[in-house]
Amino acid sequence: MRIFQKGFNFSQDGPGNRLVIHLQGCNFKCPWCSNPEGMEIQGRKCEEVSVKELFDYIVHTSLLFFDGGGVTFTGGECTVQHNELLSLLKMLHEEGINTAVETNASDPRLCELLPYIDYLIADIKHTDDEIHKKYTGVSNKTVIKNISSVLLQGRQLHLRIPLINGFNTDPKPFFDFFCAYPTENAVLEILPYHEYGKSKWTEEYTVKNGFVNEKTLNYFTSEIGKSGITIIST
Amino acid sequence: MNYTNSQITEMAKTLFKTNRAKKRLDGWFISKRAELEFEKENSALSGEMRKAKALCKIAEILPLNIDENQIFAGTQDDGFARSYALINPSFKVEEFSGYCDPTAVFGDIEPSEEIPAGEIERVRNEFSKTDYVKQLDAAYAGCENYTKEVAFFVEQVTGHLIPDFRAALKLGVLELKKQLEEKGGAGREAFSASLDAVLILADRYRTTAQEQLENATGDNRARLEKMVEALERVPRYGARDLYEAIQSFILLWQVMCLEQTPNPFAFSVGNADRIFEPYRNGLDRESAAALFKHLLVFYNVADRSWAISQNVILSGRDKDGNDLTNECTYALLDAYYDMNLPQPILSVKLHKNTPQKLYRELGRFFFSAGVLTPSLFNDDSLYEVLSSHGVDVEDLPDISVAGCQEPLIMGKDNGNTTNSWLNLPKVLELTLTGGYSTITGEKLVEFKKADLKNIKEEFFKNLEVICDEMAKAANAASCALSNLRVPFLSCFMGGIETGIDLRDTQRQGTKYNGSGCLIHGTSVVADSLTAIEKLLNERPQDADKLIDALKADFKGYEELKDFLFSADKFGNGIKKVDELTAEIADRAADIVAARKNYLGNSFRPDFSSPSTHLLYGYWVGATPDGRPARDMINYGVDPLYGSAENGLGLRTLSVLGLPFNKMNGGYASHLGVDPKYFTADTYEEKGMEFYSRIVKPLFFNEMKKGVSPFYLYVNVTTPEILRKVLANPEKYAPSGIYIMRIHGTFVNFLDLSPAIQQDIIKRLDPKSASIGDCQC
Repeated sequence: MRIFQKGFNFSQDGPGNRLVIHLQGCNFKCPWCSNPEGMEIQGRKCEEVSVKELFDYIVHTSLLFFDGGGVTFTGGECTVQHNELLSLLKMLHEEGINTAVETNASDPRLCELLPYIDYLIADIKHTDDEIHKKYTGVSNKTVIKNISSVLLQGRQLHLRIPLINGFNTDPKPFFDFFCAYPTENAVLEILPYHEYGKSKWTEEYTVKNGFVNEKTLNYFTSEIGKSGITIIST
Repeated sequence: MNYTNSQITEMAKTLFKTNRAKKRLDGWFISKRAELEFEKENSALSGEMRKAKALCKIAEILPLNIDENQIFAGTQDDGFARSYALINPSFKVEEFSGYCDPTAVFGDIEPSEEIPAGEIERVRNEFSKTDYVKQLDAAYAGCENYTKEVAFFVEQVTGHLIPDFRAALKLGVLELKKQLEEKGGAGREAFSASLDAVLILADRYRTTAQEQLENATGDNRARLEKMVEALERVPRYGARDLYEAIQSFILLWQVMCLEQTPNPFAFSVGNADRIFEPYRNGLDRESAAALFKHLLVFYNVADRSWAISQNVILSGRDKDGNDLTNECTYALLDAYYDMNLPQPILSVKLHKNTPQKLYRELGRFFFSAGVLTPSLFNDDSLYEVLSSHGVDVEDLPDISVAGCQEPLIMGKDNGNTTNSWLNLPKVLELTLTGGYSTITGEKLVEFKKADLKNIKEEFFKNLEVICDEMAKAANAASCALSNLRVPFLSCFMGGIETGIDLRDTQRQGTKYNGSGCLIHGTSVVADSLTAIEKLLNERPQDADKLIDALKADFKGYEELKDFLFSADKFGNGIKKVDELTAEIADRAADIVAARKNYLGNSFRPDFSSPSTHLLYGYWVGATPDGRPARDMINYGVDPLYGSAENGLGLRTLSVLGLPFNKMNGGYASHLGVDPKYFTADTYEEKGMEFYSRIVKPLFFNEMKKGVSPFYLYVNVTTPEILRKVLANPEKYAPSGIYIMRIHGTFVNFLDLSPAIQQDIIKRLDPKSASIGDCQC
């Protein structure tokens, strides 16, 4: 498996204290990405380990999985390494280690992973396919299908919207989407645009005015909240 | 007194400014001269009695003063010289020598009309003829080859103890004298005589206050009347309220320091909240805090707060795990926060049942720029560590800290804490080269050149040899120091029961005794052994180039250096190197603990390096982990700066594997934490965040097996912030005070020598302590 970053954080990407593993490679190309070094499928500086080696490493670090913590896979897009991730999740599940996956929800085989994921975090960047394709380079059809399916199953889901000026600040399409599905077991986190990853871009950084002001953020949050979905911040 | 709490506070602040304006400290010289003269004329007396009488003489002749802003009489200024290296702007890392010249202090006093150069020289000569100085010289001469490039270092330990003044505060000194006389014996006779010194001092202060009263009016008159009344009472008799208890404590402290002038560094108060709470008598928190502010000012000596490493510890638990925080804990915290002084340093004992209120109240210390931060102790772990090393259960609530971080039992434990210092990377260097220094090329010891394949075992074999020599030299230094008896201090260290001076090297005067050994460079050695293994595995053909590369400080071997540097390093949560580091620490601790001191008690492994990671690093050549020659070695048990780059979680994971149960002498660990990781709105909430993210994972991780870590200090800041403070102190530290933690003590960052300032900036090592997964 190819990893470009790992480290601990507390209660931001799943419950408790978590080892967050960034897997190399992403099928999207979002221009606001804060981990552009994780986009390339192979990666130039990433660490290569076998599934077993990564499993052993996670078990070794489990001493710090306090307060219901565990391991979180993110990226890049962690499901790009689907087969290896599935094997690893199965082993971790067997070991009793809490697993979280943070995904762009575009993996057509996401449902195969779900039985082994304790905490699922999925991005929903835009509900409009054309706009989604224009900015990320990929259709959102599978994304919407996966998220809808999870919502209909009524399982835990932590949704995230990266809120970017000029891209997705109209709450209406999101409001409509959340009204159409059961969201009792879902939570939504809105992540206002930032430029923490800008300096890591080696290509030209094309987002010109992505920041959202407080008024926009508050309006967006309150309008979507009317759908009944629980809004959280971590 | 008629003053309001805010007036008392203002007086304390003015008094501190007055102290900071003092550029001369002559009291130590006057005291030492008087002592030498007295001892010369009374050589027939026992060491203890001679010292006791000399101390009384000093108490009689020392010039005294009561400043108009003092609410308590007394000063410790006369105990200290202006000579502590770290806060001396002329301090240079490269000037450290492996020799502690006890007469060097005479070079730190500027001649004046009252104390001309000739007089200074005369007293220095007199002092250099004493048995103490002669024996100490001999001790150093016997180990020169080991100390000149600091394979180890030894010193005579002055200060560094925690007296138990509680009985004196409660019963008064006359009652202690009575007890001594009833028990009898030559030692106790001298101890009793030494207690007269504090009575003489109290009487002289009372007379001075009475003289000042003659022309005093209004509030000032009330202040002096209160002082006179208190000095009639204490320390002669027991204190009746907090004011009298503090007054009594100050005078006892003053005499204790005079007894060890000019080196009474690192005496510590102990559990201050518990010492003073019985005397609060319902006094509210704010009023108690106002009085404590004057106690804190007392600990600041002259222009740079020269009396360094005086520790006040708060809170903690009893033997059943119940919390012992009280109202004085919070009053002392209030006093500390409002005054923000360079001394005395503050420590807090935490445990599983520490109330949230305490964490909430600590938040303001960690998150106010330039404000002191307490060092943190895990009392639960300390109980385990010290009880497994022979401390009785009933003594465990009195665990306190002497100096920086060394845990001792208040009033019962002579830990002789900084007696010896061991430089593991230098021992590795000598093992690799067959006894030659890669710094100077000089043959320092007779070691066989080690085979790289067996380097670890050869290293430990040589460490045994080095430690034998170190223990011999350290004990010789302790024996030299035993010429200078301390009857006054012995009264508060169990001497009333034993009748034995605590510096006696033949009979044990304190309930507990040991000698400290500060073990340096664990992770540099582990990283180096890891790099050597990588070299042998991956590039065996280059193995014979290693020693030449180290001798050349990697010049011409840059590619090999990069290869070695890329080996796994401690502090990143990597199992193999973490386990090796733990093994190095474990075995080094065992080797040290197997050495016996002058009384046959074990040396205590202490993995701390109070800026000595710089000094000793300067004498270590390039190491196989890719570290350049003369660069610092790692601090305490921490990874070498720049070696751990994967954030706090993985660094914590590495640290959790270390054998804290073996570190009964203490250890040091520091985190430079970026304030941006704490996002709560109030100091109180940030205090809880600090608990959740820093304290709990390290100290109270329920998944950790074995003894948990028990010490940590932090600086919540960034290198950028500190560079701004240095570049523009008027803007960022308008008061001239910007408190930083440096090893166990805190200091005014602006007072430090440039080398130490840069060390602090470097060791913030932000990547090793990032919280989150480093993505932003």
